[in-house]
Amino acid sequence: MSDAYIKGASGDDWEMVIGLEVHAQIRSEAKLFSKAPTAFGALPNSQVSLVDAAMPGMLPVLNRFCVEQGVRAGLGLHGRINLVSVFERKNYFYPDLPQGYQISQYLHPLVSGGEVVIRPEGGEEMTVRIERLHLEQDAGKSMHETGDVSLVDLNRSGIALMEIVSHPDMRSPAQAQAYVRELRLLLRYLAVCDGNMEEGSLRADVNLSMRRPGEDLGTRCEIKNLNSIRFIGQAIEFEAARQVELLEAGESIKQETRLFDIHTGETRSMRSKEEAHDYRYFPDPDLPPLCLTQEWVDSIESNLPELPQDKRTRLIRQYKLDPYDADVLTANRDNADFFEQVAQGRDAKLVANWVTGDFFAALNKSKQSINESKITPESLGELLDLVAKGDISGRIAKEVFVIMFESGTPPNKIIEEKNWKQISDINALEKYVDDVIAANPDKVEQARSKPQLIGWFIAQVLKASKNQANPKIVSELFQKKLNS
Amino acid sequence: MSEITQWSLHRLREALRKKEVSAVEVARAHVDAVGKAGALNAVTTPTPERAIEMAEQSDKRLAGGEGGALEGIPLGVKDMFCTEGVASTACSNILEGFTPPYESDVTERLWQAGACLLGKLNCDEFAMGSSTETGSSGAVCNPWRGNGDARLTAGGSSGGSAAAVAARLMPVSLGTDTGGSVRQPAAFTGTVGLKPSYGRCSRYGIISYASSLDQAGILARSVTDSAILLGTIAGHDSRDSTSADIEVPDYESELKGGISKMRVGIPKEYSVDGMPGEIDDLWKQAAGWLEEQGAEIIEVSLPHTRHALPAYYIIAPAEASSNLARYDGIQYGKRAKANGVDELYGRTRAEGFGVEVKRRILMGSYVLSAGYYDAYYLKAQRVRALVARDFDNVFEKVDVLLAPTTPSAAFALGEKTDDVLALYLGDIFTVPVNLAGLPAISVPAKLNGEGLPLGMQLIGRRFDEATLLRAAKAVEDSAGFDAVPQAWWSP
Amino acid sequence: MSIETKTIRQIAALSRLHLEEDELEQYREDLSQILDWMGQLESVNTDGVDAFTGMGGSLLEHARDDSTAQTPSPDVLLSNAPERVDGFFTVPKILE
Repeated sequence: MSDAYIKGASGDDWEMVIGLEVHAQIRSEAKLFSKAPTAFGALPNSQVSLVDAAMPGMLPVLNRFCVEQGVRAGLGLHGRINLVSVFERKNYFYPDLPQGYQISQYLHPLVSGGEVVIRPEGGEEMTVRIERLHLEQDAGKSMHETGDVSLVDLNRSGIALMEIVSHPDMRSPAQAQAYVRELRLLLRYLAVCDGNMEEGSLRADVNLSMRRPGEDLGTRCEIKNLNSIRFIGQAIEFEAARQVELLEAGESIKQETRLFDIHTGETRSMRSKEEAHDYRYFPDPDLPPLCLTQEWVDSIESNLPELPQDKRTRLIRQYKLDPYDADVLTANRDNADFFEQVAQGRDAKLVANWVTGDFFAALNKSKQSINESKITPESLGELLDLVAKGDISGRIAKEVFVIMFESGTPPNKIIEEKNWKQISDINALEKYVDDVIAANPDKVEQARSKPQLIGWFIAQVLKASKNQANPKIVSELFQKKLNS
Repeated sequence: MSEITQWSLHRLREALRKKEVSAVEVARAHVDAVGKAGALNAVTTPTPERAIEMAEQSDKRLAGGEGGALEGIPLGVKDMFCTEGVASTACSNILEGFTPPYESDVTERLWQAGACLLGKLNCDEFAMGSSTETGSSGAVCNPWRGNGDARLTAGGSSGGSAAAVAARLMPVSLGTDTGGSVRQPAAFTGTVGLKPSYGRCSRYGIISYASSLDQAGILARSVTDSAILLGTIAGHDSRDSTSADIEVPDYESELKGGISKMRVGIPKEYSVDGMPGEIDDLWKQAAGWLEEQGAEIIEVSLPHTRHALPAYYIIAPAEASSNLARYDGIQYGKRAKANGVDELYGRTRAEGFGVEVKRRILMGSYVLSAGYYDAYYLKAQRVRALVARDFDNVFEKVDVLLAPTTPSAAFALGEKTDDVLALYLGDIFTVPVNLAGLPAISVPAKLNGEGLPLGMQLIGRRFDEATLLRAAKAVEDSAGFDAVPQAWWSP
Repeated sequence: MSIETKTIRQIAALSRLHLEEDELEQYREDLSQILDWMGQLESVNTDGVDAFTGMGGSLLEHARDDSTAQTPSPDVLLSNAPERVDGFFTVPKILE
């Protein structure tokens, strides 16, 4: 993996060691320990229960659904579900933390171990090991933009998060990005998190240290709260270069928390986190240990959907797709489902081309998701069947598709209305062919020495027939007539 | 002093039902008594208008033959309970003016049953203390002065609740008991103090001190009255994850039946050096009373008893240091002038908390901090497991335990304010019960040589308050304690 | 056992309690004395004893479903706040 090393000014090779802590918001209606709603974009402090505001005497009550989602995620990561886990208090003061502690899991997380298989861009498939997954509360939000005060909005306070901690198995920005992409995909398949990074539903903290190849681990810095895959790459690149520069100058790295500035692309030390931390974790006395039964876990497991990695492998095997198409199709569970519905009893490769080609392009352009489109698996299948039967040409099919996409009209009807049905009648086609041959004696002469000119002849017929001529039959006719 | 204020809850209830008195008359008599008892400093926020208003509603319901279990009964609640629209401050400056927009589960049950709020009762700041001297409202004075005329402590932390009941300002009151804060004041004031099992009453809306130990408690002038009140405040609450979802018996009717064949354990470790002989004698006498009524007396051993106290003073402050982190001057309560956020925290908390609360926050932060957690906090939780196991073992052999409530009678106000450890040591007989989550009750048994009340404590199996109350009734019957403090405070 | 002033200073900072020098010294003495007394727990044999983990049974029995409930209006929520601006709680400006 020497290509993953970066070179310092000294010419030495340096290796990045990267681990990620991903905070994924659980897709629940209510918060982890209160009944306040979790909808995004509400008025400030309008979704805050007395518990979330840490009013005196208010007590947390666990949302069972959130535990179930944590278990689903843990199973999807192939982790071990701990039948006894414990909520602890992480004690620290910050204005967006009204309790003065965050309820989290520490010594006894809900899930231990696990793995994610990733395919970094331009790299080999690899496995990133998962250390743990635990449940915890999100904090509120403090805003520092205006005036001489900071404003505190507690709408996010108490929202359920899964913190997923990886081992420091990654060695490049591309690997870290691929990991987050794959993890997000998994969580979306499981429907436990919407994975929306702009809205903060998925955030990553990056732990990065540098070492010369073969050396022990160096001191790491933590870059907090990265909310896009692009920023993850940029932050790692900047931070790696910064650390190498310091190390090569003979300085040591200070273990600290850093912020990524999206405007400058740089990381900087977080002043508010400068002091040494002592979180004084201890089991939350308001919450007895969380004990699950194996039966409950088993019943959750039996209801898991097919996971992206499994689906990808199956699509390749079952439909003989190439890995690239399989990747594109499984990047979204709905897309894969759509593909499979159309592919039933049809040429899968052709279906894959249509779905990932014209259809995805049109969806992208109109900013629609596959489920919002007027194209249904049935209508697309019908269209492909018309091509297969020879009722329309592939070229006409593309035009029909555009109309279907806009209007939702069934392909049959479009063809009928537009009188686009393909001409496959040999006598009718022969007339077109004969006309072209008669009108172009010079080309006929040339074609005897340049057989590739046949394409030009076919094009003339298609033009004359307004694309309705069956190109396969036309081609056969030309071959016969020009060679005789 | 109106005769009505001498009546027990039980008697008031009968009189109200038979319409011998109206709820408003009852409320007025007690409002008057509260108004005249300023010298005791038992009530920190009197709510006379609310009491009368609620009594008027009670009279309407009583007239219609409706009425709940406590219809028209006036009472006060410790300032640890959040009461909607009434300042609830845990007697701390840091919660100055805090008026909750919500009601604690336990008090909500009281109002549902028809009780009327006379006021919020004085206590140690955040219930941290054993003498009710540390709160923002100042010290509570014990109605009892014995043969001398020194001002004595009413105990703590529910000193206001105990003094108010002893002084006939109200028939019953609510306190909270984290390490003895209901039983010790009861013993010092000649009242009955009941701490139910952990989980029996909801902690929702009770300002937290130490969550794994806190429990609402009752102060009353008879075992029967405490049984009646328990029946109202006990019950499952889905808003508290430590609240027990089990049936609540009819404690009042369970009082009948006597204690024949009941096995009463005498834990030999509940005797300490320097404990007055009269307490030891009383303990033996009380065992004799129970034996006379048919109980079997069995000496038992709780070997880890003496370690309970240091374990308690590690665990309770540890939880408190975290529970009190929410008082930061942002969402509610006091806020100091400050330039930065850290100064806001540091000054608000320095100005808002008193000395004892700060001491416990520092203790708690210390025992949880890196490097000390194992030696203190974890060790204490292991010792706690041993203390609980001791009780499990003896409750295989006996039905209740009998022991003194305190190693002394009420002491003078100010006597132990400078000797922190001496004050902590006074909790030695009450703390083990909280560590194990058991129900316990203190019953007034006699006056000592100085004319001050002494209490006997009974400890029951978890959730077996019914047996506990029956044994307590037996002690009460034999003791025949009917002494009443002279109303020196009333002008 | 005697605690150092440095330690009590750290603990006070961790607890966000501003203490004057004389207070620091007083608490240092108090805590030293109390911790000394607590030292007796060292002698208790707790080998093989699990730490006490509460009396509430399993949390899952006390858990609730995912339904929401109306939250207090911002006005009510902020009614006890010592300072507020436009429906927000406020603190002196934080520098990240």
